Amino acid sequence: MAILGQLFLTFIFIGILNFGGGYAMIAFIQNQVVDVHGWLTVQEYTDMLAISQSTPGPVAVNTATYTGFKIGGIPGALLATFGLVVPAYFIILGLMYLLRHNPDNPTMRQIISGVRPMVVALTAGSAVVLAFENITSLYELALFLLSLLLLRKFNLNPIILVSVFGLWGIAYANLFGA
Amino acid sequence: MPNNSATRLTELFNVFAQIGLFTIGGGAVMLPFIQKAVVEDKHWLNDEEFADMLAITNSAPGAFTINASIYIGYTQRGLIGSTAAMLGMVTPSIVIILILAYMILQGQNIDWLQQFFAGVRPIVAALLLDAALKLRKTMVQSRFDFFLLALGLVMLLLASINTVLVIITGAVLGLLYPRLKRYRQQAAGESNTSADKKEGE
Repeated sequence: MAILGQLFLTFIFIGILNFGGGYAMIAFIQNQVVDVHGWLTVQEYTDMLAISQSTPGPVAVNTATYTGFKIGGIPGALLATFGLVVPAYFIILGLMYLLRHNPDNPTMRQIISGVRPMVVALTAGSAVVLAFENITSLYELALFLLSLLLLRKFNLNPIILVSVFGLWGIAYANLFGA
Repeated sequence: MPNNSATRLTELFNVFAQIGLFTIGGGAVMLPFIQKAVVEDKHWLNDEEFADMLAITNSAPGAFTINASIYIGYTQRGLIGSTAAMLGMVTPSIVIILILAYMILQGQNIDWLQQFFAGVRPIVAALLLDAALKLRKTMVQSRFDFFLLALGLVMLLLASINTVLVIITGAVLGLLYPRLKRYRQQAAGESNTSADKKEGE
């Protein structure tokens, strides 16, 4: 019982202090889960990362669910995941309240106008990093270019794109024995 | 009070569950999915509101996707809407991870999953590039915006600076820029008037 409470509190803590989301969060969670609490070994954490990065959903949520399940079964998985989400609730609703009640506050508008181009930079930056990580052969380059064409020219729904390319991945592996 | 009663709670849950189900890698990868569903298909937010949402959810701690689901849900149906959207976002992850954790502990073969994502991984960069190009239209317009975009890219890619610092830099420069412009205009104005005085003498 005590460990479930600790799990919940730890993931609330991770939810509050994790700025930058996604990949910035990974090192911070590792520190908490591996170094501070010793719930997973480094090897287990690495395996878990591989799984959460190759399954759908936010990496932080996947990590919380997996760690929670390992430590405390299904109740542990749910507590860790909701612990992660609780702080976001208060913070986002608080910020929205500020924005809605001062829609023309010049300071707020200036901050937002400075952050907006940086969000585009983060998105484009992630695209470049992921391209270098995931495109290492001509075959993968061909998949990348084909998907870019389908998106830019035909505005194809990303869900359809992911489904088709994923099924192709299974077919390719089984047909050509990759 | 935000209330778009035309948007049903099940609709909020379903849209975010689909996003949660079809995106791997988390974070920025989900952005194109959210953009397509929320702006292009459902028209819950316009481009301008979507840009504000991104600025706020990226400046706050926590997973961007969770923040975005809470924000967008709230704009439609208030507190209960944000809960429906957030639960939609996390439910597929929880179910999938629990099933996989169970299968792995049972020693079952999950090669097909690796194969599926071997096909998906190369296209994730294309999805993000497409999203960045679409965002650029509303979020980067003035010369100052382009300067910030370039600065952000240099900080991220060449200097490997933490994303949090990049966002903070944007916020600080956004605050300083209008003040700097005003100061320069004032300085220019003063030098004009002093020149006038000299002529008058």
